[in-house]
Amino acid sequence: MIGAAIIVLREVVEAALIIGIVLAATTGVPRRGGFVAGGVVLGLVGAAVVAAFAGSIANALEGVGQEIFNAGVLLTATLMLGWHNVWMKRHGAEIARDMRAVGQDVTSGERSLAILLVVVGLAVLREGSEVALFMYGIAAGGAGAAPMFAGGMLGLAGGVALGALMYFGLLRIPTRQLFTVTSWLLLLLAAGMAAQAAGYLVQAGKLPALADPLWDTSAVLAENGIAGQALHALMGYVERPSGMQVLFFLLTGSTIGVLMNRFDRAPARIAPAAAAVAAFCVPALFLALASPTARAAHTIYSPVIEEGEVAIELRGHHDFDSRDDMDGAQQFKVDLEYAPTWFWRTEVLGEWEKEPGGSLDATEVAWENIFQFAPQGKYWADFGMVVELIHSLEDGGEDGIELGFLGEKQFDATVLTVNLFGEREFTSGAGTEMEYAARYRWRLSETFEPGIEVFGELGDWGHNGSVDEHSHQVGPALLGKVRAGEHSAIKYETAVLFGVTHDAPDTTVRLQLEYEF
Amino acid sequence: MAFFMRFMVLGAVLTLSATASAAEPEIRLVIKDHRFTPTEVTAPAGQKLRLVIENQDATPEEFESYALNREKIVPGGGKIVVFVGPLKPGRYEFFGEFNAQTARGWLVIEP
Repeated sequence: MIGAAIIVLREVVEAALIIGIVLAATTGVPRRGGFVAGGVVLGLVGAAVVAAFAGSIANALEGVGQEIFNAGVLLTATLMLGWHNVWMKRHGAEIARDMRAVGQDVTSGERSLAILLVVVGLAVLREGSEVALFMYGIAAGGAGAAPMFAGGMLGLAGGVALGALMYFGLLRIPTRQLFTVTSWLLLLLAAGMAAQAAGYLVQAGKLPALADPLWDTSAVLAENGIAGQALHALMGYVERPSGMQVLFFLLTGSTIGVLMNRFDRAPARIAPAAAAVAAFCVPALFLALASPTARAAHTIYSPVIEEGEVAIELRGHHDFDSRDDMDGAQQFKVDLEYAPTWFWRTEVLGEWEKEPGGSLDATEVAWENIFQFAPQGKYWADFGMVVELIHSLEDGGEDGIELGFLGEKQFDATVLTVNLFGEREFTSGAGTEMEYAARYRWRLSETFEPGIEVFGELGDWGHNGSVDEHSHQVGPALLGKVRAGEHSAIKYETAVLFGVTHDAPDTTVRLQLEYEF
Repeated sequence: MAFFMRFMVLGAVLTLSATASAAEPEIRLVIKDHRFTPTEVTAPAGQKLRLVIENQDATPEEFESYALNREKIVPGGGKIVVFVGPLKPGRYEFFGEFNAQTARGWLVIEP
């Protein structure tokens, strides 16, 4: 009920504000009332058609399995809510300006009255169809029809009242603050919907639970109590969430929150609830500015994890260049890794670097985690992600985080692996350095697989600069596995990479050795 | 407006395609006394396959196949699912890594 009320309130206030601006800008124009009312009616009719169409899609999908269908509707609503929230941040002011301009054109006789019908109709249609869609999302989350209707009516009444009071100047609510508050409520609602979608997908066996339950707060806040129910409607609260549900909640909430802040014109001020969400997850890929000191990693990660594997790994590379300030740079990483489950591998590692002309120094220790999203081969391609927390050992060095998205696709006897990374330091104003790595290999034999590798740095997120400032390298690679006994094996990877842009080293040789127990 | 409708339809298509893939042919393999039964199974080409491997031994085994590009632990007394394919016609060897002398088998893909 609360969720429905918030959505309807928000949409009605938005429509009411647009109508209010148009009315204010056309004061004194004869017959404008009829055209504006006509626009409202046409918009409502259009929104009803949209609702009916959405309903017929729902009916058509009835047979596909309720869980999957519900998850699909919830995720669609999540995407739409998130997009809407971010978009309003960006374009809210523009809409108000455009509406005012249209109103003035009508007053000065430059445009006909019919335009009022169109702009008001479109505004109502847009907000109305959003209401229809979001309501399907709430219904898919398991809300009953009666409380949803009650909530909708409450929201409608509140929205119309607010709109009317503001238009007649009886109430001076700063709209900016009103939208800020409702935006954060919508953010929580969207994150909650995503978590509920994850719940359905886990139930249908389409996603791993990751830990079920991750925690149990039934003793603290019962889901069927009044507060628990309110929180459930507002942000999808459940007593015993699975790890996947919590992950969906955090990723959705932080992504929308960060995008909203990014597209806000004024300096960002994060509401406490969202700050907690965002801080927990640190969505490094979406943040911007400054330059990290760390060098390109020269590692290609497969999203495929071998459950139970224990291994020691050494990775290193050496740069050769005609420029003295780049020639002879080296980097080594040593790690110990273990995969406790099919979807998670964790490793601790140490890193040493040698600057050209300098000595080899320990630079960082890190905790790296790789997550595999689905069993290998189940879908068209395999996907996963890497999350690395980095503690710097250098003087004045900063700790940071690296997030990477991993994809792999097999084409008969060849395999394409693609990685996209964002690395960011935990300092204010630090930027996110974007990097990519990819390999295409031919599975000729277990001990001998030739391939081609590319590595590159794309500069900071949002500040990509020219191609010449990026570092792109490409070259041949060789990898394979040599069995060293009943259970153990040595895996090797080596490549010679040639710089193709000005800022890349002329040649880099990389070698990676892994001993599996 | 068109944007919303496109989104709704996209969501519908995604959910439909997600459920459509659920019906891949299932192939059952049993590990007993460190051997696979049957040692040879046939399956159609060009289709995704679902291998269900049940380990009736008390000791763990690792289902491994370089040809299929798969490697997965089967706990003692446990059961796993391995998705493979779509595959081209041919003979794909697999084995149990922990008992490679005895635990061997072939997946034969017929055109």
